[in-house]
Amino acid sequence: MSALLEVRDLSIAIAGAARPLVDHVSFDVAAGETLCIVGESGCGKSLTALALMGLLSNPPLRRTGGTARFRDRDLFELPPRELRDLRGGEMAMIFQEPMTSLNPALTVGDQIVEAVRTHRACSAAEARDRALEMLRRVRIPAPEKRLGEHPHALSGGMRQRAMIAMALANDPALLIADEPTTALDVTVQAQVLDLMVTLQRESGAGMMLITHDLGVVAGLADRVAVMYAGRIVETGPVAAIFDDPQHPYTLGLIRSIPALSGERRRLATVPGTVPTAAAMPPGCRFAPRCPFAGPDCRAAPPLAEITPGHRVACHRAPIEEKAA
Amino acid sequence: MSHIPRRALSLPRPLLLGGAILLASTLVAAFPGAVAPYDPLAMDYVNLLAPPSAAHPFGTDNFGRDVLSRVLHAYTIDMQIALFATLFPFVFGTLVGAVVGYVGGTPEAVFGRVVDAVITFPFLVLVIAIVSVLGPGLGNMYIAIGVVGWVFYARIVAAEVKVQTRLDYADAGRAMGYTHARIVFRHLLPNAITPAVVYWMTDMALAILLGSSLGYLGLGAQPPAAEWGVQIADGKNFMATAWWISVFPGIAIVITGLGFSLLGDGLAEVLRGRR
Repeated sequence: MSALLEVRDLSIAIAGAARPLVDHVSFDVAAGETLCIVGESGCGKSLTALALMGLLSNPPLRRTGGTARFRDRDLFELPPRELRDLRGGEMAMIFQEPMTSLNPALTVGDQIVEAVRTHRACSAAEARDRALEMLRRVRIPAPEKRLGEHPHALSGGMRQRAMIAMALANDPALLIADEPTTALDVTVQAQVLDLMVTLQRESGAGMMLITHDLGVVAGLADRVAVMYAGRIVETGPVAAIFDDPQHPYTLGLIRSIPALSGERRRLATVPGTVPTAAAMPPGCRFAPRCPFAGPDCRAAPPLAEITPGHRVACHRAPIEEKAA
Repeated sequence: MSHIPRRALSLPRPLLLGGAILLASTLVAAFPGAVAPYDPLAMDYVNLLAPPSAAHPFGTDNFGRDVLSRVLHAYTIDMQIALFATLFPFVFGTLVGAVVGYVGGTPEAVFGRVVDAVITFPFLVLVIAIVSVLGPGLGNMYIAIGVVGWVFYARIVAAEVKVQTRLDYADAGRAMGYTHARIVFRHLLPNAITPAVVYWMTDMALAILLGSSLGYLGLGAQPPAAEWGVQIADGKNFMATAWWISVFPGIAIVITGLGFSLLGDGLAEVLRGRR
């Protein structure tokens, strides 16, 4: 299976900071696959997504290195015109905040129609039919009525559905979703996620889902990349990450999920906080919070493959063998 | 905007009142002959400086011209001033402001200094300076006001577009592959233009005052044209004996200005509610 999107050594820096916010991040997304990027707030996962869409606010944020090949084109080298054709066409993005991601001054229908007409040559009537069809596919009730309404008349869940309809209107090959359900109620979250997965399966698109919710990851991901302080610390198939986590940070994350059954215990937490960009340690960035840290952690560990497809950036991995 | 008519019943009162005043003013401006009892320039030497009476409800001036007819005919010029003196600043300033607010960086810094330079001078002084260079008359007055006035709109719109540019839907537009021009003019501007429209209404009231001031100073509309500022200037020597020459055009200015202000307030309320 050849990759739809190949990101290699992507680095992003903020003007004036010594160390990059995103540091040599590499990953692939294949067609039909869901890659979840997990990490706490500020670990650089949203920046990675924005960089891929060419949306870094420049300055102060700047891509300092790396490539991203999407269907054999380098996203960072494309002329603006081709990049525009790509965005919203072959690759689409769903944003975190459905409340502010729709234009409050235009009707939902107009916004979807515009998305359609930007990327295909079709009449206004055809685009309107397509918008209606998309609203049906994302299961918005009374879609004919909703077409003519402004975003303020829609609930949060419905707005996010409308955003999804807009993003999927042109059958993108790659969908980037940046915490698409964070702003929604838990029950609505589940519905929206189900919907996204169903639509993705139908279209065979690759999806890059950014989240900090491990429950979402376990339910949706084919593969997972765990990010910490701007680096990928562990990546692999979802089963490997949950059944056999190797990086101390991944371990900490998984231990901090509340269990629904069994013995009630205090939730485990990862001690300390993410160091600021200025105070980032050399070598392993997790070392100051890591229970297993030793002197060798002052050198940055490489992202080494321990079983096929499962890579970990830790001197202690694989834990079982080295501890023995 | 198919949902707006449904709200027509609950429109704010200032909007209705201001709209009514301006509708009436516009009708008078379009057809002054239909409501004015006399020719505004016709002189009646028998009735010089006649006080208000049944024949001349607002009295006559020092040439025996009917003040009521002149006040009504002046609507044509003064409503024109309200529109022409503000239309160019509104359109041009909005465009410049939208682009500058979206692009930011060096163009915005340059624009900021231009604004600083213009607003350093009192508005009226600057306009008077430009008119005296170009020569008096309505056309030159529009030019002078246009040269100065656009910066106020540009400043308002630039600030508002800058705010909107930071919102997610602007990024979403880029992520959909829209061009910069499309994002600015179709997506950001409709959300950013409200304060500029409201200011426009206030500015029309100010333009009438400014037009009248310049008319009064002899730099705007020229005698014998019927214009409120000119009329007030005509009457200033007779204030003690024939107050009606100046007072009635003054009242017309107040009422028209009030109409624009009320309309502006009402619009602000409606447009804010739409968000």
